[in-house]
Order: sequence, then structure tokens, then C-alpha cells
Amino acid sequence: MTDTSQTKKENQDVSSEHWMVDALRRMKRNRASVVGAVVVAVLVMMAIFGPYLVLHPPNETDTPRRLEGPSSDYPFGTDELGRCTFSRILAGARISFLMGFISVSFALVLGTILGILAGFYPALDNWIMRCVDVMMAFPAFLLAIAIVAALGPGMESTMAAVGISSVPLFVRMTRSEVLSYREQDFIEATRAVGARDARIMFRHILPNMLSSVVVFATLRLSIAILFAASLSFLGLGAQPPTPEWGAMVSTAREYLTRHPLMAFWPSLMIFIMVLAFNFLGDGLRDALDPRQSDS
Amino acid sequence: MFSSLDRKTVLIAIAVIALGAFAAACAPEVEEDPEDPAEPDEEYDVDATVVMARGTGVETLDIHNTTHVEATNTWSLMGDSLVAFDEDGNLVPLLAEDWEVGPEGLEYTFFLREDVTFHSGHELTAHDVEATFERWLTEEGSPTADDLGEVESIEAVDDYTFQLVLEEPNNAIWNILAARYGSIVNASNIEAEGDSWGTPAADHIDGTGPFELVDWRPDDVMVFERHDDYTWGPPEIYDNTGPAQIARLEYRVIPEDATRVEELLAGTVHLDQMVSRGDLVRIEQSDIINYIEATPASVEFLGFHCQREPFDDVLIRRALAHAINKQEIADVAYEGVSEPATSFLRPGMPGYSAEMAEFNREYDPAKAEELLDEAGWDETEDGVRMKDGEPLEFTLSAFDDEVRLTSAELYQAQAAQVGMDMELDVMESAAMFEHLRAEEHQMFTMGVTIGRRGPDVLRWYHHPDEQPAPNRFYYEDDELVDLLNLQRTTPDEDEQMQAYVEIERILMEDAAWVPVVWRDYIRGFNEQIADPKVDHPVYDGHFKLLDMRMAN
Repeated sequence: MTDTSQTKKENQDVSSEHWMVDALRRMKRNRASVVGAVVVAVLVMMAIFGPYLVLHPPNETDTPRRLEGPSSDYPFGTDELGRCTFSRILAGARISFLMGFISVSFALVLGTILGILAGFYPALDNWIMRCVDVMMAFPAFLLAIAIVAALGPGMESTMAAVGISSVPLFVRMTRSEVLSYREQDFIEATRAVGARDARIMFRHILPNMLSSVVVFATLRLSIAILFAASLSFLGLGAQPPTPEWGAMVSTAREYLTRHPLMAFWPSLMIFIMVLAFNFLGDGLRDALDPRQSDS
Repeated sequence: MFSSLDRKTVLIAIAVIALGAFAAACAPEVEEDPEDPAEPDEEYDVDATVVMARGTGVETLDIHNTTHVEATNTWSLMGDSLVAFDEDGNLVPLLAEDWEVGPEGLEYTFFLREDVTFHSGHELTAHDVEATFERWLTEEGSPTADDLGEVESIEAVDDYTFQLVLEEPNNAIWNILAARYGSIVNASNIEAEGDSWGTPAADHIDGTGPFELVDWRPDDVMVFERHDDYTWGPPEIYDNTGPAQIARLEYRVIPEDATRVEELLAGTVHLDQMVSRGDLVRIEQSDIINYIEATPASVEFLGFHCQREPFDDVLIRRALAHAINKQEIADVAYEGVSEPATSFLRPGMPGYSAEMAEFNREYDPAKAEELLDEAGWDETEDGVRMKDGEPLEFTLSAFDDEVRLTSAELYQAQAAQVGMDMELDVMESAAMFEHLRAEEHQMFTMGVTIGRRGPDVLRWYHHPDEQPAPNRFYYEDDELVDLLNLQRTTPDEDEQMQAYVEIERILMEDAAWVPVVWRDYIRGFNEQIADPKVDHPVYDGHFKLLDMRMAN
């Protein structure tokens, strides 16, 4: 994996092809990332079309048929209230995606802006980074729990909590990128022709570090999804009867010995989704931003 | 590396290890000496530690500031009340060996036992009883102070005589004096501990009961040790009047039903008071667990804040009462262990009358829809009814234990079927009690163990004097208040019984609440616990574990 990207990097300068084609080719070489991308694509489809594909309304109860194994009516079996696990899994895909995307987008926007400001203005640097250090002093998950506890349980506060707890990482990452570009010749040149700070930051520095930010965000996505599911598992995230996967595992825990299948499906889905995003993120990193790859 | 070892060496090594393990396994048997003088009764282990499990922890043991069933259970182990009820409901002596009642039923004189000591060694006198009542009646926020009615005086006449004088008769007086929150406390202990008394921060919470609290880690475990001087257990209730026949008791908090059963099966917990029916199959297959089927315990109900939207409209309360399928709740959430309730008071309990079933609102979604139409809430395409552009939505506040949570989700689904959008607000017990006391609820679900407390519990829940706790309903009706007062003061038993019927009628007619199930509990216990007549902490007024023995 590393060898391939290194070789590619050497070739990069002489290649006349567009960088995206190049990146795509690099990605294709990495089998895990292709698998990741395909699975993510399938999951995205699930999230978009899932609610139209369900066999039963996800919250519809059928108590005489509770805790049943798979059947033609209920392909994945039923839960403790006789709800269709298959339909709930499908409906849950959208929730997990939304929670992951919204919280990471929040962290991305806020973190990038703060990171650029910190990197660009030495006067602000100390203030912003010391605040970031304070936040980094708490384990991220503990910070997320504390934020949910303060905001009250629910999906909105879970997204806010996961987002806020990821902000410091984005700030650090973007700041270091900005620092590396700030003193380079092309920035000096832009400054020399009289460009204003805002223009330099957002038209010249930001596009250059975009690939790193995207890679980082993809990798954070899997962690954000896992955090959101964990918070729901603890009863702090999605509230009943929302078919959130983490919350489904939490309920199923009580029935683990009697009906293990109930816990199996949502756990499997969380596992697949997180793994797929990790594969994809690794692949993207190798393809877009070879400098970051593990050696 | 292994290939270099010859096979014989490996076999010898395995044999040595296996032998060692075998020897280790046999060792305790070898050490056991049947003639051991430390064990006078070979059959039972008087030094045993019994581990019990419960689902929820206790936030406070300040007995004058809580009605939480687990707090009162704990006090039953740690303390004693003046009197008690036996299995058949007869009044029997406990700390008071005798008593006299004045001619008009207003003066109560108690003659105390003279051999009672607290865990600290302090001897019980009438001054402790006086101080207990003083605190009970005056403690700020005491949810039970009003139970005694208007009290004219409390007085320690001499060291072993205590007198209580009421301003008006109180039919429930014996139930209240025998209740576990009527435990007698040590005044000097309270004074010494100050504000920390009754909390985990206290060094010691002194009582006269058969077990002394020696360690308390909230939401984890309470550890008790035997009170060796205890000899005053009522012989009408217990074969053994004391001291207890086990040395130590650990009362652990294990919130998950499935985990409690796992521990029971693993033998790390000896007694679980609330085995879920779903796990019963596994218990039946187990050699080491016995169980007692379905002991009547409590009534679970839905309550409305009757002065808050949307439940200030009686039609909506009635509609919801008809939308609730109690049979489904009993079958699914309670796994068939409990029966659907047709009245608040349950059969077999004082005050119950068969007439009460007539007032029950049957499950009838069509009727519920009719009532909602009548109230002006129109059906819409997305299923949630609307009125004046507002959807019919509200929040149910519920405890977070497994059974309550499952019930809550069913209520939600059942309400949705008639076009009501019910949100859930699920809380752990301390937060829930606080939430209700702060009057933040629209509707709530809860259970109450009536037991020896008797039907006077109706007054608790519906008398305006009892707001904000335990009266969390805010249902106000003059006739109801008169009846609640009457049932307490009338000397005529028929009139009293008739009052209960009328109270049930009014409350069901206006749907101030919906009794949902009469809850029963299954108790699972390790076969080492020799006496299956283990006290039931929930229903019975007594829970002292004096007869509990652990087999060797």
C-alpha cells in the first residue's frame, strides 16, 4: 500500500493527467478502499431509499409475534414489541448517516475556520490553541457525554456533542496545514500583489489543504457514527421508539440470552458501517494525500 | 520450538498441571472438618453472607423525606416500627409491647419494650420515639407527615411510655404506625450527623433492626451486619425472633433484569426479588435456583396532570384511557406475570370491592376516537390529530427500568393508533421523583405498593394537601376531598367501604388516572437459602429476614 503511493508520488510531477484521475487510479489499486467505497455506496442507498423499502412501518408493533426468528414476514425477526427488525435496520441507516454527517460537518466547518484563523494570525493562535488544549484534556467520549448531560438527551444534542468534541482535532489539523503554507512563496506572491487576508486564507490556502481536510473528515466520520451509536446505547442519544442502531443494541441487551438475533443485526450494521468508512478513509488518504500515509 | 520437545515431556507436563488442578479442586474438602466446633449447627451456616439484588438504588435513607420503596425496604431491615401486622393482617406488638386507645379513638398510649437497643448500643426510650415523631411531623418536605392527620400532641410520658394525641380520628392510624416509614430513629444520631444523616455521607445511620448498615455505596451496594442483640422480632410473624441467622447481607443494585438472572444462575447472587418471566425458563432448567411464583405486589398506573394541557380536557383523558390495551401491556411488558387492572385497589387488599370493576374503562379504540372527535381533534393524513392548527402531542414521563420502558413504548404505540403523538421522557428514579415534585410533567407512569399501607393511599394521591408529592395528579373535586376525609375519620365501617367505591368511581369517571396492571413479582433464590418463606419486601409490611438461613 505504502509502496504504491510512494511510487505514484514520484511519478506525479511528470504526469500530465488530472490529479483526480490519478487519485482514482491510486484508490483502485487499494482493494480495501474499493470495498469500503462500495459498501458506503450501498449504505448511502439504504439511507436514501431505506424508508421506502421497509416491509412494515418501523414503529409498528405486533406483540403476538414478539421475539421471533426470521420468517418471510420478518426477514430479520422481530424485537421485544414485535416490531420488524429488518425495517428498523433500514430506517436506522438514515439516522446513523445523518448523525455522523451533521456532527462531522459541524466540526469541519467550525474547526477549519478556527484552525485557519489560528494558523494565520499569530495573535489569535495562542488564545484559540489554549482553548483547544483545554478541550483536548478531556477524553473525547467523556466530553461528549458531559455535553449531552448538559443539553439533555436527544438526537440533536447527541449531534452537537459529537460535533463539539471533534472540533479540537479539526482545529489542530488545519492549523498545522496553514502553518506549512503560510510562509511559502506562492502565498508571499499573493500578498505582494495586494490580496487581502481573507482572500489569501480562503482562496489560496484552503483549496490547497482541502484534500487533507476531506480525508480527515472521512476518517472522523466512522468515529462520529460510533460515538453517536454509543451515546444512544447509553440512553443519551436517540430516544425510543427511534430505530437507531445503538439504541436497538441497548434494548436487545436485555434479551441477549433469549433472542440473540435481536442484538446481532444492529451490531453487525454498526460494525459494517464503521469498517467501511475506515477503509474508505484510509484509501482516500493514500490517494489524495500520500504525505499523510502511515509508513 | 515445540517440535524440539519430545512428546513424553509434554505429556508429563500436562499430567502434572492436571494433577495440580485436581488437587487444588479437592483441597477445600480435605480442609473441611465435620467436628469443627465453630459451627454449632451443621446444617446451616450462621456466618453466611447472603447477596440480594435489586433493580434500583436508593437516593436517600432519610425516612422522613422519601417514600421510595427501596428506601423503606432498607429501613425494614435496619429499623422497627412501634407495631406490625402479621400475615393475616392482625396487629401485633413490635417496639411497643402494649398500647391503650382512648375512648374517642384520639389518644394512643404505647408501652415500650425495655430491652431494645440501637446498633450503636444506645438504649431505646420513649424520648427517641418522641424525637422521631417530632421530626416526622415537622421535617420540611416530608411526604408522609400528613398521614397522621392533625396531631394535637406527642409526648414521652416516662422513659418507656409514649403518648400520641390526635385532633380527629384516623382510620388509617395503625397502617401508618406499622408502615416502614414509621421506623423509630435515634435522635442523638441525627443530631450528631446533622445534614448528612440519611445520606451516604453519614458515618452511621442508627436503627434498632436486625441488620446494621455498615457500608453504603450508592447505586452499587449496601452492606449490613447482624445486630447481635436483636431479640424482639414478632413471634406472630417469625419463627425466629432474633438475632438473624446469617452474619452479613449485601444488597446489590443491578439494573438489568438479564444480568440479575445471570448472577443468580452463576450463584453470585442468592436472591432476586424481581425475576422477569422471560428468564423463568432458564431458571426452571437450573438446578441451583428455586423460585416462588407471582406474589401480589403493586398496582401500576398512568397518571395525568389534570390541570395542564392537553389533559385539562377530561375527554382527552378518557380517550387515552380507552386507547390503552392493558392486556397487551400485561402480556408483553410484564410477560404475563401480572394481570390487567380493573381498579386501583386490587382484590384481596383492604378496601377493595368487586363493584369497582364496573367503573373500568375497557380497551376500545373506536370509543377513544369518538371522544377525540367530540373534543374537536380532527384526524389528519399523517395520523396525528390536530385542533386549531396544533397537533395532539404530549410527553409521558417514565422510570428507566426495563419493564416501565417497554410499557412506555407500548403506550406510545397504542396512543398513536388513535392519533395521539406521545413522546417519552425516560429518567432514572431519583431524577424522576425530582421531576414530578417540580411539577414538570404532563403525564407519568408509576407503581405503588399498597400492602399494609391500606386504601388510605388514595388520600395520598388525590388530597390537595398532598401536592406536589405524592399527589402528582392535581385533580380537584370537592366531593372527592370530602370522601377522602370521610374514609379516614368515619367510625362506620360500611360507610368507609362505600367511600372507597365512590372514590374509585369519581377517579375513573373523570379519568384522573388509568390503573394498568396489578403487578406481581417472581422471586428467585439460590437453593442454599434454606427457608423458602423469605419475606417479601414489597408487599408485606415486614422485611427483616429473621427466618432466612443459608445451608452449608
